[in-house]
Amino acid sequence: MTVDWTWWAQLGFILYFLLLNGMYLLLNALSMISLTSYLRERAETGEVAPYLGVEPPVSILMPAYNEEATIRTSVRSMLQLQYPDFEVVVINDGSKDQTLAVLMAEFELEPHPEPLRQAVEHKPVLGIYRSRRYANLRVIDKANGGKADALNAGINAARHGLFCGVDADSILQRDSLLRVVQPFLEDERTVAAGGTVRIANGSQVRGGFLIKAGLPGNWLARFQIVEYLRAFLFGRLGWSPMNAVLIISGAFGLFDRERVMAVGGYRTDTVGEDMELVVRLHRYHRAAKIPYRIRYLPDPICWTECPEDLGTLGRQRSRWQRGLAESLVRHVRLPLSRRGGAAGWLAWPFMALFEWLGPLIELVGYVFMIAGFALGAVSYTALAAFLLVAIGMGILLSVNGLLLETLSFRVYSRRRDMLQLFLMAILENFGYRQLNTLWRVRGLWQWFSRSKHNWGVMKRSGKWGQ
Amino acid sequence: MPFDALACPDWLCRSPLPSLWQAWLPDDFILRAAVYTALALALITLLVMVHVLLLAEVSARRQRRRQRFNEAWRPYFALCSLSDDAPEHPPLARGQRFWFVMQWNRTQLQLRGAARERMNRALQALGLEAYVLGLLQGRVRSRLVGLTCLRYLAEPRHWDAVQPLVTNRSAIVSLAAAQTLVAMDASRAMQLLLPLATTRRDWAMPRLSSLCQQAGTQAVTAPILTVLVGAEPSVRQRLVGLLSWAEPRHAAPWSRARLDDGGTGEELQAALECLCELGDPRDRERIVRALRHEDPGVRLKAIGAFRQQARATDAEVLLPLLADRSWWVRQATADALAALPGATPERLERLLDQVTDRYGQDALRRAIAEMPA
Repeated sequence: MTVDWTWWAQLGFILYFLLLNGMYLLLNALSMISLTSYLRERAETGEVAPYLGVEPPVSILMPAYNEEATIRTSVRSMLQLQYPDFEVVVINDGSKDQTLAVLMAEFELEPHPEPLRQAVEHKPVLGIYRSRRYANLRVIDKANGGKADALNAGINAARHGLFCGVDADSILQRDSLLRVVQPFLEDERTVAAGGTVRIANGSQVRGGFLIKAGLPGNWLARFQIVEYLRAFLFGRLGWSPMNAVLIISGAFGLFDRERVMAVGGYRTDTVGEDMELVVRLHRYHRAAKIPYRIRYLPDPICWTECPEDLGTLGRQRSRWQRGLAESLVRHVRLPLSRRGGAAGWLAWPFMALFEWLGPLIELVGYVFMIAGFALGAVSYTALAAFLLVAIGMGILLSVNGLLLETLSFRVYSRRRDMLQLFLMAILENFGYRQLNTLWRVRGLWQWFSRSKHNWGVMKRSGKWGQ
Repeated sequence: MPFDALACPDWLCRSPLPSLWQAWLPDDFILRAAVYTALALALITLLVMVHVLLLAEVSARRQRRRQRFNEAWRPYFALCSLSDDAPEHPPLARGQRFWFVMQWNRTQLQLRGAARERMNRALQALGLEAYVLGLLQGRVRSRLVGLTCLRYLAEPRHWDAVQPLVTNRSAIVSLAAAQTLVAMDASRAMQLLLPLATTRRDWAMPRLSSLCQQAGTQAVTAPILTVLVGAEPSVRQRLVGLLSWAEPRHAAPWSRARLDDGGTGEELQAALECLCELGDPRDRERIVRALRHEDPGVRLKAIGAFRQQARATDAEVLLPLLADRSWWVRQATADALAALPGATPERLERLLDQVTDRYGQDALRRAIAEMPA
């Protein structure tokens, strides 16, 4: 009886891994088709971002919490974006450091008696400032309430119909705004569009703009480069043509302000406010039978600094997992709805089975196989076969991410860089991936136990601010 | 559990390594399948890796060749745009014609007027016109590059080659073709495109606005009025925003009729925008009436139109709107008050006493703070 049980368990885990990776490969194939067609359609303008002269004005919302090291450079870089009409609204979310003082001095801020709408709720605003040097820069100083709360204040302060949420520790490519607005120009149903987030560690940044992409010396950062390529270039690109993108990164996303206000803005009781908002937008539009599109685009790029130490990275991954769990559970009715569409019937179950519960199943799989092997219930060959399939699929998926990168934008064009990324795609499966699984399971536990969890301190080099 | 289909293949098991292989290969069917899967994965991964490296190498080489090509031709393009005399140029191989057109398109993007004309002549002198027309028969990428080139050439004789593409299934190709037609003959293009826009839901409004902007008011006015008069209400509601690209003088009768006889919110907003542009004092009564419309979008446009022709004594008309339930209307009203002829911060401060609504006071304070010193 025991033998039967273990045999079936072995079979179950191997099949789960095959299914998981098979689905990823399918998504990969979809991404490749989508990317090829996207690049073909962009042939008209090539590397030059299209400019029609009818681009709608955009409010860039930049929540900032303890960003004194980088805020100066980030705001400067935003002010220099290539876009006909935009404003920058920095929301100082009760920073304990000198963020506001740095902004006041650098941009010659003066108090501005501006009434804020209360379309969405947020913590009290302590002051509103405008720059004497830049007519399109305003700063909202408010009590600390978290990123989502700060974005809600920004939505109320925004003067334009589209808003772009960006992280204060990220920098946009100069033409990113012009590129990410394209879906809004091409299809009136578009309510949100997200771009690609890439790792800036190891790249040369000057004056708030990335001059040259490069690989970081830190191995954790290198692993994350492969991970981000995989997550964005096929994780999201594959879902976009089906209108089933469930995540638009909080670091860079463009939204229709009225639609976001219609769903109540960002929720402040989740750590995954970016995903939660997108899933809620899907649900709202589907329930109300309003035609809509949520798009992901590969070429608008946002560069961000990734953690280079295990503690910060682990906390970040646990938080992401918890955010994912909160978003999926809160909208469990989406897949059950008669109007769930691809977002509800395909993307939601995929995310639930492979991203939400995936780490748990993966961990149980590893523990079962290794413990079973130690106790003699699992044969050496079964263990080897399991590890070969699990690791082999992982490597293949990462390498496919690199293939998509080579087919499209070739940011890492040097052969040496490519070979190093290959090495990372292989090595990440021996330790890093398993560590990630542990962090994600911790995130699941935090979600399940409803433990009070704060964001923790994000260690940053602050090199950009220099 | 014997499964012959999954037995060790002959080519492998009869090789010099079979004993080692068979000793390692598990007997169990599932495990055997897993081993084969892992091997297949390893092989695919290796192939993908080699493919990526080859692809990277090929594209790097292509990029270098392209760079050399661009460097060789850059002086030619520079001279072409500056001088009427055809400059010397390096030989153009058949395989390089596509790159040439791409580079030519990119150069044209920066140029205007006579420089653009000279570039057009250079392309024609090289005998590439037929090649560019041939690109329209190709796939999406070729078509888009060809259409861009023809847009810069703006030769009405290419009309017949481009026109069929405006009905292309792809919105991107059809809109690129539309842009090219507008460049050739704006009036004729608008006569064709605006009626077509009533059936093409995939032509987004911003792209249509861009076409109208490119065509100019003279070309847009007659066809848009014809479309608005004849179209079904749903189509009219969608396209009425294009009225802002029409000549206000000619669009005014339609706009006045809408404001007098009633229309949808979108129609009234478009009508008010038109009257705002026109700035005719005879429309004042209509505009004042629209200030009380139930739709906040209409009230907002009405404030804009009223602001255009407001007099110093018009504060009384605007003051009640500071208590409007719409945040946007209150802000626009405050801005309109600040823009009244002769308005000064001191005068507006005095007006504050007459405003009983707290939110209205906030709006007015903000407008006062934003008044130029």
